[in-house]
Amino acid sequence: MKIRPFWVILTVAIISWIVNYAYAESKKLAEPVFVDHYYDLRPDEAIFQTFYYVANKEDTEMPWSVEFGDRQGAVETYMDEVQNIETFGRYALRSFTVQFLDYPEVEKIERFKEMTVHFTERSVTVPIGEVVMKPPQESRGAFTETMHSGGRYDRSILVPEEDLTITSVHTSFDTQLKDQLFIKLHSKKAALKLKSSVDVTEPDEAFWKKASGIDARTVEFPFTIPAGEQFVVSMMDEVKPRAALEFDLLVEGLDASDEPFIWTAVYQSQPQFTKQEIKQLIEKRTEAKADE
Amino acid sequence: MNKALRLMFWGYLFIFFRLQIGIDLLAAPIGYYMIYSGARIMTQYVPVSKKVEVTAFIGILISVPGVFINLPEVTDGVWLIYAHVLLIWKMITVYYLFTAWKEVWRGAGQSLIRQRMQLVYMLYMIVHFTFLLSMAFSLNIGGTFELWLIFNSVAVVGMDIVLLITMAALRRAVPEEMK
Repeated sequence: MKIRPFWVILTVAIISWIVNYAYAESKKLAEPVFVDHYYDLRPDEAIFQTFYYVANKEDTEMPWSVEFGDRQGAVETYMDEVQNIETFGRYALRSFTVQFLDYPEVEKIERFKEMTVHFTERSVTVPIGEVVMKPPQESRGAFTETMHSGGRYDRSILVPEEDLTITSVHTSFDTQLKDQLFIKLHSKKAALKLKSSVDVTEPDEAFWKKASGIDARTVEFPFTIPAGEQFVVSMMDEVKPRAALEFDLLVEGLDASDEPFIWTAVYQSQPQFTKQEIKQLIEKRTEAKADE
Repeated sequence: MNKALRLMFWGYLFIFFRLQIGIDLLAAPIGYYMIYSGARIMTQYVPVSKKVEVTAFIGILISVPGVFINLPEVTDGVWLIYAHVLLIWKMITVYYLFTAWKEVWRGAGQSLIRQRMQLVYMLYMIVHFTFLLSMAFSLNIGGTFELWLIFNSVAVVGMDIVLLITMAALRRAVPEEMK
């Protein structure tokens, strides 16, 4: 290699580096961007909750604790340095698990849309979707047989031991995730009546269309499930941008003696992003900040 | 001349290898000083070595801060830029070293050594330039590209070792009139 090629290639490499560095700096996040989380938290359970966020991949700051209002949680630290779940361009998706210690009693439902996170070098208050702190709740076994399974969609098969009147099937986020959460109800012998003039959009997924039942939003409540009859509750989500979901699916009603009952199952979905979705998430947060 | 090559060998070892115990015990400024000393001897035989002298002298000065910073762990900011400057300076020093060596072994009957030098030079520069470009693009590319970067880093260390082996071999082949 003569002098000229060496210097030419070196110049090209240096220019490439400068351009890449300048571009990376221009796209640098001023603070971590948290994924939307839709979580139900209950103080009567040992709570370990995972939170996901996007950071500049070169950032080494570690989260130590979080706050929701005056409620605090400590971050579990297994490692001395941050670990990436995955990298997307100049960003990295990371997570940490929080344990809520000395949990003050929750007397009424509290909703939090922001969380303060204390990192090693700074504290940030960031939008996180919505976390619901719920007071303790006693679930009564209204069903003799229950089967709950995940997969492409969540499915619960419930069999009541006596005639039950179902008054509602819902989650804490039916309003926030309107047209993004889908629940189907199915029972052969129960006469599920349809509400008149309710027009709903359903996900365009073949497996969901094949799932038996009718959209819960169109069902007229209450209705009765005869004893011994299978009652199937199916659920799926199409939350955009992708979010971390962990909340209760609640089936509420009255038993044969008109005593109220609540049956719950936990619906979970962990976020898996594409590069494009990470970009959309960052844009959403950046635009929200600009509007403040 | 043998002494010059011995100094260059140890000098390069100090430059590329780090022994970080609080500070870099195999400090790069010491390495550049050794190369500078070796180049001063070599200049007596091949004047083009003067360029190695100058490059190594600047290397002594610019590599001092790197003794106190664990450069492989820097990920951001001015120290990241500095780490790249040191890498580029190492490449420029090697470029001038090869230029000087080619003058030493330019005589008839030394074509095999020249061929070997040319091969090592080409491989060294290809691997280092690939690494430099990969480092540049890794700032904005994620995913499996990081695996490529790890592979590249290993190749760079491999080429550093190959260069040291070549230097050791050159010491055994110094022309009689320069011994």
